[in-house]
Amino acid sequence: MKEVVLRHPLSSRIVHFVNMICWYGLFLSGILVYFKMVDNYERAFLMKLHILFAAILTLVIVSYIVVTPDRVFLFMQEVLNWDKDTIAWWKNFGGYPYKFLGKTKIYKYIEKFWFAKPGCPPQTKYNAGQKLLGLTVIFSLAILGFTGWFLYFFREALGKNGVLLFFNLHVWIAIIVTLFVTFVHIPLVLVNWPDFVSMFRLGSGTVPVEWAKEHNPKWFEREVAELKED
Amino acid sequence: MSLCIKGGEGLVEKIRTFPPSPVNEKLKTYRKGELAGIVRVSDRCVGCDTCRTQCPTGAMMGEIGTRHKIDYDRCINCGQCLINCPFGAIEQMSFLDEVMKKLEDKNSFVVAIVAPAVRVALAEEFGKPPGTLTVSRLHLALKKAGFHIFENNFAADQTIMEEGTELIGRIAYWELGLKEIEFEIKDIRPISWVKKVKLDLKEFENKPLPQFTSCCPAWVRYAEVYYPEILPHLSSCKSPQQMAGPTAKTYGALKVWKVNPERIYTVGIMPCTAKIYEASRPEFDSAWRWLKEKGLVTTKFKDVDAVLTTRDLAELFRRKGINPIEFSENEKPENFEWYSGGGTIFGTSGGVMEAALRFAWSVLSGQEPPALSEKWNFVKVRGYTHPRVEAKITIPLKSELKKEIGLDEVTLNVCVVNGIGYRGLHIKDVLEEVLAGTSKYHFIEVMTCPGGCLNGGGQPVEPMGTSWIDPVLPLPL
Repeated sequence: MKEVVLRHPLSSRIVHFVNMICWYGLFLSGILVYFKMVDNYERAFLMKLHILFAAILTLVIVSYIVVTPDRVFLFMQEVLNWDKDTIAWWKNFGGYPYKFLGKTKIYKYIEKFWFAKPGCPPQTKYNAGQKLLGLTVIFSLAILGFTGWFLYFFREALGKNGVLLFFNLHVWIAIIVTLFVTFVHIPLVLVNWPDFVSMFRLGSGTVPVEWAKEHNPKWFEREVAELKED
Repeated sequence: MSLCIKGGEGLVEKIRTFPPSPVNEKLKTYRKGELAGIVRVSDRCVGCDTCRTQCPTGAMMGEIGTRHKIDYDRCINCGQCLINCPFGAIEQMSFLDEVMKKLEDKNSFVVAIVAPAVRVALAEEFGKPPGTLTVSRLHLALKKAGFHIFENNFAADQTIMEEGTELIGRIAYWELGLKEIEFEIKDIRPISWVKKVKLDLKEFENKPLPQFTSCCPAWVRYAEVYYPEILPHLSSCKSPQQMAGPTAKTYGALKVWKVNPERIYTVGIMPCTAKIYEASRPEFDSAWRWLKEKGLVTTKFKDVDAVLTTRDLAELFRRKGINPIEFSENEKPENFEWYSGGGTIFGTSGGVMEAALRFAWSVLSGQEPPALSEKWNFVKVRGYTHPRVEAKITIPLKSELKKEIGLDEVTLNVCVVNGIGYRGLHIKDVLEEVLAGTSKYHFIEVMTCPGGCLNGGGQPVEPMGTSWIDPVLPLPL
């Protein structure tokens, strides 16, 4: 049987799944309302939907923090752990430009640039790009949740400048982060198919050991191998 | 056209205006000629819903995320929605273009009726901190723009003499059981004068206690639309603006300025959007009626021809290249530029009440009210932090009254409603008690806007504030 290692435990996968559904639900309803792409009655319905998605997402995230604080701690520890290899990853974006463009005609025009060099320094459980995404999502969720609920419940206490500031932060952080997730995170995770499968399959959230050794050698050596010894 | 908010300070959008125009709806609560739709929601509304929670009547309709709409039949034109909108999405009807034309017209004699709250707010539009006082420099700037001045504070003094007299009449009839009362009204500054007043109290048979103030046009419309049974309790006095208009067109025109009354064009300069509506009320043409009886005029005209808000006035000055801050603050007042402190405090919540009671105290006790006294504790009815405040004011009676009614003093229970509140939250039970005959009050001041005219719908928009934070609290303040 193929040797596998657990990458995404069930609680994290549930939160990721709910986050994904609610985020896009919130984004689409928010965009349609903000840019007035539908009429008044539909906007009223979409805002109700927006608030429903926000309530579900808030509930699930708060539950995740309360029920599995160990997972939250480990995740935070991982995304905040920026060693020299994490920094080094940014020198050539983990070799992704080379992977995508190395065999194309364009490469000869960019090969002299630092970001087009091949190779990838060894990474922990998440590579530097995933760490940045993790931090972005955590902070944007916090800001969007705080500004959104404050605007919903306590806008009168903010004053007009406060409402405008919160409103614009809410709208534009949501748009920028969604664009980042849609055009960077999703395509890259599709390229790393075993990681995608481990997150979304109905069975366990495991990845093949060989894949883990190749993509996340530090994680494999320091944590998975240690666990195996235990 | 758009009017700048605080010289572009803050993130809040500019308030846009539109020329006077009829509303394309069949309305049930307006009479012919009355202006409706003084404020309207533009398509810049994002549906943040802040305005709805500041509307005293529930006229602002809409759900979160949707463009809101005003039900004009329910609207009392207070403009609280406008000054609380963070997005500048609510627009105001403006007579600015018409007034500009009149100022250019050599045949017109344009009179500015300047409200007390304007002088403490106008400077904000020219980059000065809120509360910066412009009195003399405001007058000088107005004169430079081509206006003649009729201080609304002067008219507020007229109002308080009328309203205070009415209060004394109601108290004398209902509380002291008198059939008639005689007293003197006197003043020593700037010109000493005495007026003897004898009231036949029979007329107060249909003017019960408590007496409500009637200076706030939004409150008057609120009473007319929502509580018509309360109207006998409202003071029968006109507001200062509506006293100023006819006085300017009659006494002012004939005795002071000596111009043909038909040439006079009166412009209320107000912190208030409801004043635009008030000036359009059909009964306010008393100057024309009086002058017509005397055979002095033929063409029909209103007592107040146009109303500009504080924001409109700032825009007028900007268009004419006038900065009121640059003028002197030491100009000596003349003609209708004189007024008392009682007139000035009309601009703040509790001010009309205090001025009326000072007048009543003076008349009933025969003395000037003491500056500081436990019996004369007005601190309670001042301030902006409470939606409703009350006080007990004990007035010692003068010797003639003591003999006549056998009492040494009379104690008045007074109440100030500092903003009608969301859907009438701050006033409903006061009105219900009065209608049920269980009210303990003798005199009730109502200001639709929290804080009074200072926070009116025509004032510069303060980017940091919101009128009330009640909607975020589980219980009223």
